[in-house]
Amino acid sequence: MRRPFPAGPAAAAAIAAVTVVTAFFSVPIVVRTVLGLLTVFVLPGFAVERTLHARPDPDPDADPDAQPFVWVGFSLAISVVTAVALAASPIGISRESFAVALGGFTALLALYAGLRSMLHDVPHEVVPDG
Amino acid sequence: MTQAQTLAYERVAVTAANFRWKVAVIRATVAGLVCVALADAGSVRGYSNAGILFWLGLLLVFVPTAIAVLRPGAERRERLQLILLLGLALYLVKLLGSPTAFSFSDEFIHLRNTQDILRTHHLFDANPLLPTAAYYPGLAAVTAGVVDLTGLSPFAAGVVVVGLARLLFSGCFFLVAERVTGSDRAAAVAGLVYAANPMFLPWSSTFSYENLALPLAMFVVYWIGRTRHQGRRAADVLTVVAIGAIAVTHHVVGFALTAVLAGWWLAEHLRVVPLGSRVGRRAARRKVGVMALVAGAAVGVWFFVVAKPAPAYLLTNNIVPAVRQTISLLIGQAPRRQLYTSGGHIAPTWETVAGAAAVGIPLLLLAPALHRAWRQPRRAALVVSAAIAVAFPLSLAPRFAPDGVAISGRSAEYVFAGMGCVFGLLAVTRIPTAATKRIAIAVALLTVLFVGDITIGTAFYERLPEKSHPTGYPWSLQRDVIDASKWTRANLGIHRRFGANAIDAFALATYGEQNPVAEDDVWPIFFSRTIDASVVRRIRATGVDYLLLDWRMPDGVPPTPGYYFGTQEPGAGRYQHAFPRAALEKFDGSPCVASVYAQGAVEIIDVTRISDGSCTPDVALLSTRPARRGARR
Repeated sequence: MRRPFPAGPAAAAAIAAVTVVTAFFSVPIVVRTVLGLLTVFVLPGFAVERTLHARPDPDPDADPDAQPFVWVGFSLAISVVTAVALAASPIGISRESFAVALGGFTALLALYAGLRSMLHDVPHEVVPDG
Repeated sequence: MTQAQTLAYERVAVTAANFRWKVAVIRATVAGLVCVALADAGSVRGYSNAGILFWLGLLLVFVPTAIAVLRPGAERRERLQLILLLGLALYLVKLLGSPTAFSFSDEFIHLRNTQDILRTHHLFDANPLLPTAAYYPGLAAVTAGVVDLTGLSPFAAGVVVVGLARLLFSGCFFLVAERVTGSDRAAAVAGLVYAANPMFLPWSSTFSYENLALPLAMFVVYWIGRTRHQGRRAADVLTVVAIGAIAVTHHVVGFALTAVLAGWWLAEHLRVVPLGSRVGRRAARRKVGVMALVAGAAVGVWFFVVAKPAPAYLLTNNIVPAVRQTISLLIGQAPRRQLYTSGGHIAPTWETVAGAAAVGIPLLLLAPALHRAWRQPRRAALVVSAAIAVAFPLSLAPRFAPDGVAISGRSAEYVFAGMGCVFGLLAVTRIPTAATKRIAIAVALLTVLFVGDITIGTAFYERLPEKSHPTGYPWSLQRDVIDASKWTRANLGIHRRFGANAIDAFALATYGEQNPVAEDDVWPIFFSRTIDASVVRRIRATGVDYLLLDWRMPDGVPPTPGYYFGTQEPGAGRYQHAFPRAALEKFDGSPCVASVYAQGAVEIIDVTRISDGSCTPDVALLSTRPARRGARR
C-alpha cells in the first residue's frame, strides 16, 4: 500500500513552477510579489525540510515550533548562495535566471520529497491475534 | 469528577489564561508602537517632548513581554511567540523612524551594492562608500534577487530580508538558548537580555550585511545542535550551504561562527556529553569539529583570497587602531573619550545614570551567573556561552577610546548571546515560578538594562528622526541633498567623481549613483581657505569632477561621530567651532570653476577644468577678491 503524493510538496512544486513560468511573462505585480516572496523566503527551505523528513525513520528531534525557522533559515541560505553564484557566473542575476535557478531547484526538490514520501510503504498495522 | 476530567479542566483554564496574557501583551505592544510613531512624527515637527512618548512606547513594548515570559504558567510556545513579537516590535520601532527610505549610514553602503548588482547583474562593482562591502555580496545579491523576482523596490525588498532575518535570529536564539540551558524559561530570559543589548534596537535592524549573516549563523548553530547526532548526510550538506552563505555575507560573523564551533568542539573534549552511545557521542563531536573546519576554511579563503580589501579594512583600519588606542588609554598615554557628549550635545543626567546601571548590573551578576553555569553538569555548550559572556568586561574598555567605540559597541551583538544564556540560567535557578516579588525584581533589572543600553547604543538626539528644518549642522540626510543627487544622475550621468562631506556622499552614491571620493582624501580641498597650490594638487590627485558644497556646514559643529568628512580632518571628534564659511566661499569667482546646480543649501560646482589640468586658478588673484556669498542663506 502506497501513500498518496503529499499535498505540501505538491503545492510547493506548483508554486515554484508557476514562479518560473511567470518570470517570462507580464503578470500583475501582486501575483509576482506573492510568488516571489514565497519562492525566496519559504519554499526552498520547506522543500529541503520535506526531503529530509521523507524517510522511514522519523527525526527524533523534530519540533513543530521550530519548523518555520528551518524553512526560513534554509530558504535564506539557499537564496543567498544561488544569488551570489548566479551573479558571479557569466549568466548574471536577473528575474529570469533567479526564477529558473531557485524556482527550478525548489520544484525539483519538492517533487523528489513528495515521490520519496509516496514510495515509502505505509507501515502495516499490526492486528493482534484472537 | 474523575482525575482525568479535573486535569482537562485545569488544562483549559491554563490555556485560557495564557491566551489572555498573550492578547494583553499584543495590545500593549501595539500601543507602544503607536506611541513611538507619534514620537517620530512629533520629533519631525520639532516637539521637544517627543522623547517622553518614545520611552513610554518602548516600555509598553518591553515590560509586558518580560512579565509574561517570566510569569508562572507560561508555556514554551507562548514564550517563544512573545520573544518573536518583541524582536519584531523593536524592528518596527526602527522602521517607524524612517518608513519610506533607508537612513543609516551602513544602509546606504549596501543599497549601493544592491543597485550595482541590479544594474550590472554581476558582483564586485567598486563600492565608493566601502570597498570591502562589494566583496561580501550576500545581502545585496539576495536583495537584488528579491527586487527582480517580486518587483518590489530595493528599500521594500531590504526591509523584508532584514525583517525575516530578525525573526529568524529571535527564534533560533531562543531555541539555542533552550538547548544550552535546558529550560524554555531561561531561554526567554536570554531573549530578553539579548534584546537589551545596545545594538539591538537601531543597529541590528538596519539593512546591513551583518544583520543577515548573524541570524544565519545562529540558525547554523541551532541546526548543528539539532542534527549532529543523527548521521544524516543531507543535513550536513545543507549545513555547509548555510555556512557558505555566511562566508559570502559577512567577515566578522564568519570568524565568530568558526570560533564558536571550534570552542564547542573543544569544550566537548573536556566535558562529558550525555548523547547516546560512546560511538554516537564521538561522531556528534566530530561533526561539530568538521563544521568548524569547513567554516574556518570557507571564511578564511573568502576573506584572504576573494575579498582583497577586507584584511586591510578590518585589521589595519579598525581592529589595530582600536586595540592600540585602548592600550594607550589603559597605560595613561591617551586621553579618555568623553561619554554621553558629542557635537556640542550633552545627554540628560538620567541617561548617564541609566547607562552606568546598565553596565553595573551585568558586571555584578556575571560572577554568580558564571558560577551557576560552571556547576551545571555536562553541558559543553554552556561552557562556550560562559566563555563568550566573560568577554563582557573586556569589551567595555575600548569604549573609552575614540577609535575603539565602534568595536566595543559592535561586540555587544556577540557578547550578549553568551550573557543571555548564563543570565537566563541564573534567573531560573534564583526565581522560582511562583515567587512574584523576585519576578518583579527581575523584570525591573531587565528593564533598567534595556533602557540603559539604549542610551549607550545611540546618541540621545539621534533616536528620533531629525526635525524637518534642523538648526545647526544636520546629522541626517536632508531632502535637498537627495534632490540634488537625483539631479546629478539625470543631468550628469552616473559614476562621476564627487567630493562631498560624509553625509551627503551617501546620497550622491545611492540616489545619484555617483562615485564620491574617500572623505579622508577630499577634506583638504574643502578646508583650505583659498584655492592654493595644495588644493589644485589634491583635486588633480583625487580626480574629482564635481564638488557638492553644503552651505549648512558653517551653521554648526558636526554631531556623532564628530566630523564633517572623515576621522583625519583637523578637529575631528573635538570641534569647538563650526566649519569656516570662507573655506566654501573660496570657489566663488574662480574662472576654472563653474556652478552647475544651486538649490536651497546645496550647490554643485564643476572642477573638471582644474582636475584635467586645462585651467589653473590664479591663486594670488583669488585671495584678494571679495567674497560674494555672505548673504547666501
